Amino acid sequence: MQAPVEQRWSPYADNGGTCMGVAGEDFVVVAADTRLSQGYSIHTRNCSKVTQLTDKCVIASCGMKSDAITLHKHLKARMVMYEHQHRRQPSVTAIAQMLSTTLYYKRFFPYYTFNVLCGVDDEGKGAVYNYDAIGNMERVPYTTSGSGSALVMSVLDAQIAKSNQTIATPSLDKAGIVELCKDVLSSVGERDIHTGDYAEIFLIDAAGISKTEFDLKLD
Amino acid sequence: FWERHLNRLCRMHELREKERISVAAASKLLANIFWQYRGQGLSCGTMVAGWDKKGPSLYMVDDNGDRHKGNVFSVGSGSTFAYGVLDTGYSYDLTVEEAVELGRRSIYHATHRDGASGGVVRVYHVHEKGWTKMIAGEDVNKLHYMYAAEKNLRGDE
Repeated sequence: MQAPVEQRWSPYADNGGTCMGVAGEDFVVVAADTRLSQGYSIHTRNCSKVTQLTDKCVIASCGMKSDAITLHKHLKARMVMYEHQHRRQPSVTAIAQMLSTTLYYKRFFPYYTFNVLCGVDDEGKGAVYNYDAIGNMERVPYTTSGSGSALVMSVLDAQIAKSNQTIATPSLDKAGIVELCKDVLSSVGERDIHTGDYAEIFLIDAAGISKTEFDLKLD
Repeated sequence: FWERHLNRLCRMHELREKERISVAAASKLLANIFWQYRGQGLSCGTMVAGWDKKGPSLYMVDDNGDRHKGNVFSVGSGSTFAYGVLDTGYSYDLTVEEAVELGRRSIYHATHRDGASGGVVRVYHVHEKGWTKMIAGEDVNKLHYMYAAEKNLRGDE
């Protein structure tokens, strides 16, 4: 007779996908795929992971889509409240801390979301913030999260930070970074089954937020 | 989160009591929070350091709700490694420069041996007029080769 094993319904699901953010001197590039999956099945090929919060700030979330939807809805409501009280939009730094505390308030039943918050700060510089599920935040030059994050991070470490490289190479400009993000997402789409279909690229700079889409493999 | 919260509690104390909060009281506020959440999975080891009417004080507060006053503490996964270097070099009469160097060296040794520790070292000096960032962020990899050179080694043996 086999030993008893406890079976329980889990309130969490992993809907897959990958997102990334890279900060430049006066801009940020955010890239995320649009595939929604559960296990080996695809829910939909065309579902955005990114929500625009202000004229200068977007948030991209990987993990469980339902928690991401609720979190983004909650943050958008807080944006409205902030604008009513302060007569202006919140800065990226203010939103960053707000997200951290919002996540920690659910410390004992977390939002299963792995967030990347990107924008242009009050000094005009590109800002990227990386979070864990319970609100640990860190401002970083670039980051990634989601099922393909391990694959992405190594490439960004090599191409942007140029860690552990002794041969000097020129650093990338705005267009170069956008092309790099496209290449990285394509490569992740090859190796990670949960990443693919289409990708959204957001470019945030002094002129505002512009979005482009491009195709990834559908397999 | 809890350190930001402690910041607010200390500020509220100042507004209510019209006086700076003592290190003992501030550390106890934090320890009591951890005691309340004991067993629920919070994980944190903190040093609360400051100057008050009694002079300089150092309290170690951790997620068990433990709170200890002392002169020398090390906390975290690499703490045992740091203690080795710290206890060997410590004396109450160290100058500020010597203490900063001892702290830096202890952290370096912990990062070398503990897989979960690494990155950069930051050292802060807490004094009567507040705090100064003595070392802003020194890469431990650089310290590795620096300390090896002091012993006439290459650092990659």
